[in-house]
Amino acid sequence: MSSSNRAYAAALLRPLLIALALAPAPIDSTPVRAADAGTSAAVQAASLASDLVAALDRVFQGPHPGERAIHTKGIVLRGTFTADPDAMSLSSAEHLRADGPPAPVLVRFSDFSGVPSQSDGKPGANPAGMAIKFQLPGGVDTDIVAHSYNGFPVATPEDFLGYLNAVATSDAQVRDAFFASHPAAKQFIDAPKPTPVSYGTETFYGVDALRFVNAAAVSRFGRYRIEPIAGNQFLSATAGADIKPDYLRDEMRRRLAAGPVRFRLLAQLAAPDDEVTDATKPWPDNRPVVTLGTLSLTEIADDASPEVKTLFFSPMNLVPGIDPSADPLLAARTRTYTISYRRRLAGE
Amino acid sequence: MRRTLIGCGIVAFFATLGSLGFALGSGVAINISQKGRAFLPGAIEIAKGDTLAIHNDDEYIHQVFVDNPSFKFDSGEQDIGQTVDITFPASGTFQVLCAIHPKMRLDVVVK
Repeated sequence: MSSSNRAYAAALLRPLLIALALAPAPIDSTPVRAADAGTSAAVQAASLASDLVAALDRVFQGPHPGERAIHTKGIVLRGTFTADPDAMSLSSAEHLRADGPPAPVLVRFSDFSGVPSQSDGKPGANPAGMAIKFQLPGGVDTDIVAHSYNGFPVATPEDFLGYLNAVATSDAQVRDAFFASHPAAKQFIDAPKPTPVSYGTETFYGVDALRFVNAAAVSRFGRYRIEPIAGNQFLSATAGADIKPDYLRDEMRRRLAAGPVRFRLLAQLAAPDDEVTDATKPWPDNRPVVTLGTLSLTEIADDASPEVKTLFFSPMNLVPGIDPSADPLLAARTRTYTISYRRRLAGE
Repeated sequence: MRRTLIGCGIVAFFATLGSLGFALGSGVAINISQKGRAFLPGAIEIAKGDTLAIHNDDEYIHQVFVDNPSFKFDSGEQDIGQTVDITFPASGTFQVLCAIHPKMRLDVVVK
């Protein structure tokens, strides 16, 4: 693949990375037999996850030994999350209790592509990723996986594979046919993706709906939105093209020296008729928003520490009070991330 | 049908869960529990044709998978209270893992 094709591929893949980070799954309280070994569904699901990772490798010339298949270049920060009193009206989750202590968090910001040497100002860097791990008592943790684009280019794992193949192919007819039949993917590709002034100056979105359940067992579907308290700030196209390859890490170091980097964690709530299983369809801006709390990030974590080297995020790593929706991307994303994670730990 | 269980506490485990056992296919169903983000027991030896019935007794959802050159399996989302059945098609050593919780691991030897 030529460098221009790689840049194009990287731009196309940006939304995929984001979507992989944030999909929920169906809820069914009735005990059922979920799957029989050897059934076509279970085997096909396993094969699809492997195919997705292989497709990512084709797009990004991987695998790159010891690296993530996508959102490869990143920076991990430490901090705390303090719940807002309104959060308990939506969910009984432990970290959303305002009467408890702040929860320690690890937050990983990342460029989009699966290229370890991705330059922060070049195509492939955006949309950026933001993954949050809340560290709860008893060794329990729960995650949020988000990116800086409000939506996902495709709605299903099968279409995600089609998307990756369309990005990787040298056959323009195949590529054009895919985007002609998948308008959300086309919209994603065409959307402006400016370089942020800082990872701390752009909004991140959880693209998959989750079901939040409060102590009274009242449930609402919602999607995460993570807003920078410093406000959204982006570089001009000219300034973005001129920044150094590791600009965002250097900028974050300088920003933290002046004080914590803070975000407001929100949940946008679905109206009764809003689509909760299709990540390509953002909800209208007039939907109610609940403030869940504030993230305060204070230091950059050591990339060489075991805790950071073994860091793994899943949009399905949930705790009581937050359930998945029936978004079909959720399980596929989790398995895809798992394959990448195990390969990374093995140095492959 | 030959079936050997590995690890301390297995007898007590099956004494507790024995009433939940059931036959599937031509083999025997062997109950495995998920609790506290762990498989209980964490290792087991079974006969070819036996079925592992993995029950989510946890307060978290799980996603069981096997990624072996000779056998791949992915349950998808496994809700609280759900059971996932896995019948291994061949003898060998397998790891049953959870895609959501990387520390969960069940070692299976199929004789």
